[in-house]
Amino acid sequence: MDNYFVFETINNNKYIFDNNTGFVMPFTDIDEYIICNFEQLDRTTMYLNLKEIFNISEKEFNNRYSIIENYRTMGIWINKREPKYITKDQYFKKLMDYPASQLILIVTNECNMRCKYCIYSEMYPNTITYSSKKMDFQVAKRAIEYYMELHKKKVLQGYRKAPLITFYGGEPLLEYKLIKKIVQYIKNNYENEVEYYITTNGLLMNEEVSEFFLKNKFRVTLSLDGDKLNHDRNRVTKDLKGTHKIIMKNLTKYFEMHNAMNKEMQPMLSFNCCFDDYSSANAIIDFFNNNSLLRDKEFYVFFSQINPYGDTKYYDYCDECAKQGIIKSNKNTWRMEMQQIHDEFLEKIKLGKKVSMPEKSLFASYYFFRNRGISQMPNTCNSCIPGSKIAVNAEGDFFICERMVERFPIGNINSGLDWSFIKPLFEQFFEIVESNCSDCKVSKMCQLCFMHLSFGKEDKLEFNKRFCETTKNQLKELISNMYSILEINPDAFKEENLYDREKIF
Amino acid sequence: MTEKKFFKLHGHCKFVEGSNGACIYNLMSGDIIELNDKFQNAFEQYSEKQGLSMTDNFEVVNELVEANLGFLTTQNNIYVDEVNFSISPMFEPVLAPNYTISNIFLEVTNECNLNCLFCSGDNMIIRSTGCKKYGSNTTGINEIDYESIIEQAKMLNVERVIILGGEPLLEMKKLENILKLCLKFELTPVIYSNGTILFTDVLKELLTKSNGEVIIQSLFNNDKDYVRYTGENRVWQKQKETIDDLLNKGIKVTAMILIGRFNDTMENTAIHYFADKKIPVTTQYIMPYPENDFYSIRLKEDLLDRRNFLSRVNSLTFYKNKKQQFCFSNMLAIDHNGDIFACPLLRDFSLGNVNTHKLREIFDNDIYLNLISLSK
Repeated sequence: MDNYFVFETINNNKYIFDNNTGFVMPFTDIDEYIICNFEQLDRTTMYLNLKEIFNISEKEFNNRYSIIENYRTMGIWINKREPKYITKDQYFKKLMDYPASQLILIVTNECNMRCKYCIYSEMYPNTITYSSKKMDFQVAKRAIEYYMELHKKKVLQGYRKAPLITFYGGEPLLEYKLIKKIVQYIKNNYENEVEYYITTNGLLMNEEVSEFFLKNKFRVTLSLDGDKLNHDRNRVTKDLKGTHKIIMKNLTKYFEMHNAMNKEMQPMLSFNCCFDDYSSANAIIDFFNNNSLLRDKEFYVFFSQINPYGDTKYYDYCDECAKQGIIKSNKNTWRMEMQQIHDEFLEKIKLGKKVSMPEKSLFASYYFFRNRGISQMPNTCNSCIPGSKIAVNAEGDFFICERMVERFPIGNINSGLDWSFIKPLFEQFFEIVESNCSDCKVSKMCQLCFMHLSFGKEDKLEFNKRFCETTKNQLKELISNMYSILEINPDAFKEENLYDREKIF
Repeated sequence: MTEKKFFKLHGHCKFVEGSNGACIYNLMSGDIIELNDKFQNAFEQYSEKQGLSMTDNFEVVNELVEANLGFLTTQNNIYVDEVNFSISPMFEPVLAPNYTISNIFLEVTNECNLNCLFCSGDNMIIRSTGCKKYGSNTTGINEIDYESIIEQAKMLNVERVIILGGEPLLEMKKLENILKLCLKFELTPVIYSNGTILFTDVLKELLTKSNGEVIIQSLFNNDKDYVRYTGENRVWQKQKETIDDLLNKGIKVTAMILIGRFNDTMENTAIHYFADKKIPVTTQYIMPYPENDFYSIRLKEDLLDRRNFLSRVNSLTFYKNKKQQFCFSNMLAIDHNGDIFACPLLRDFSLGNVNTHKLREIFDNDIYLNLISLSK
């Protein structure tokens, strides 16, 4: 089966995208003939046919043929994939070679907010709900010991990065004392430089907490859905009050503290901004671009569409709110405003004009694609592998990801990463990819991971058709858009420092 | 009216301009094409976006197309992606692959049974890898745990363990131990030897099992010249015996002929002998720097011309070499005292000792980081 597709730019130039490696090449009818017939026809027949059709000279044919032949030896345009299985030994080798390592401590399932779109809320009837489960220090300690040992092994095998410990919840700052105790324990017991990361709603980020974050070089991702209207629509306290004002107040204190402590270094801060069909993209971008507190600061924004996959009532709830006039915008607001912002963004890029960091964040997929690696895709696609991240819950069970907690365990603090749990997950993943992605022409660029397959009702991974369809369409459009821009501005999207992802992940 | 045509380089052809000239790297063939003034002038107008106008640069463009370094198009806005198999700088912090090296060099002794006139106990580099008596900055002999070294090397993805001297066969027990470890950890051993000491049956068996290789360092094809330059009798006879013995056991043998003014016409080298035996031959040269009495005067100009020593690059190594010194970033060397170096020839920059440092720790060493950043 062909593993490439041909696309046209706005200037009607043809290119070929190779899904095995991600390589893109300008494409002529002659190239197409050689590539399509490479395995079927011998060289002489191919030349004679091309001479007849295109009146091509032998020299020209030989030049094109030798390039295509050589590119094929590099894995381009051939359907070569890693086998869709993995043994225990291969898994642990892969884990050692994997270029990321992170321990995520889910320190509590409790939250001091009741966001409408939260996976713990009643909008997601088939997932777990808020609980008072809190992590005990001993559980955290055992998890850290296991993780540090694993990290040490990775380092001996050439791993470059420091251990990374993430605090997640619920709202992790409800367990601020535990977080402090853990950081102190690590300082007392490990010589390594350890990096910390936290995702917080910011309600409890007072002066003391800010100082603690800054002193210990925490990377902080603050959940902030842009402007007050969009934020307060969903991000509310238990008594349903909006939280924008208090978070901005806490953020002010954080920046003041940062200025007092270390003006030279940029704060390691990013935002998580959720949106839905009714959100105003203009208002959100305007907020991150022009808010007086954020102006002149360097930060990245993770824009996340509120999860439309799986069994959620959230979007029905929004429609109902719109009907009742609680939401004033309409269902096409995000799509229509984004179209305009997108066009303006591409126009600026085309002309080499400056674009803001929030705009870059919003259209990060262009930067990711432009800076993609040309290489053969691994059998796990672009997904993390179980164990590269270890999310630990209050009971000490290990999970693939902080977004997949309480389902699909991969071990625990007593037995460590457990192959008997991991093996069936790989098998299900490979089976889904084999059945659904084998004939996909853009799978090389797809961000499919275990999480996307975890929305089924059963305790089994399940193909996510909606994610697949949306991704396929978006990627093909993105590739065509991007090469249309590159034809005008070859330096477009070639950022070496879109943001320092090292500081974020 | 004829359509205007533009020339663009293929994605695997890179135009690089340096302070002393410019060239095109063909990353598919590995060729480095030096550009004369005519081409350099034309390339002053070349840009990724516009390419080169055929009308304005007819002759140059025709030659470039003829050499298959690019293509002609009527659309000057066609965008050509680089065939770049390395990680983009944007993703390097995130996707930083593990530190790996392919080769580890173990100098098991700096003693030699020959006393070649041009080989002294200094640390000056006069040729590439091979035997040499290096002076040692450390006193006393450290006990070296080769098992630990080779196990660590395996974890760092090392494929070849290259054993050097002096003359390694003077340390038969060490050599045997290292070859056993290579077998255990599935690594390929390569031994540089002057070929005057016969390999024991145990060594030969271990080399066979681990698919090892012996590189015989050769100067002459007669005992008389050897006596003059090494002070030893029957060197050539012994070398032949060793080579025959190894070949009979099916062990891979390569010859490395060291060229100096004493053999630069090649008439007194064993090149024909090796050719008859179908033994692959490489040549190494005594270099004119630092000033010495042994380099080939006849070849001096060639030896000083760096173009003769360029290595070929491909779509992975070209980009990697832009970021890292290709040689240092691919090896570590350990001398007979356990001192660790970025290269067996670079003895003035010790990076640590195997008794106090894990090999992995070297990659965080400031000297090492400076050395690998000496990118071209």
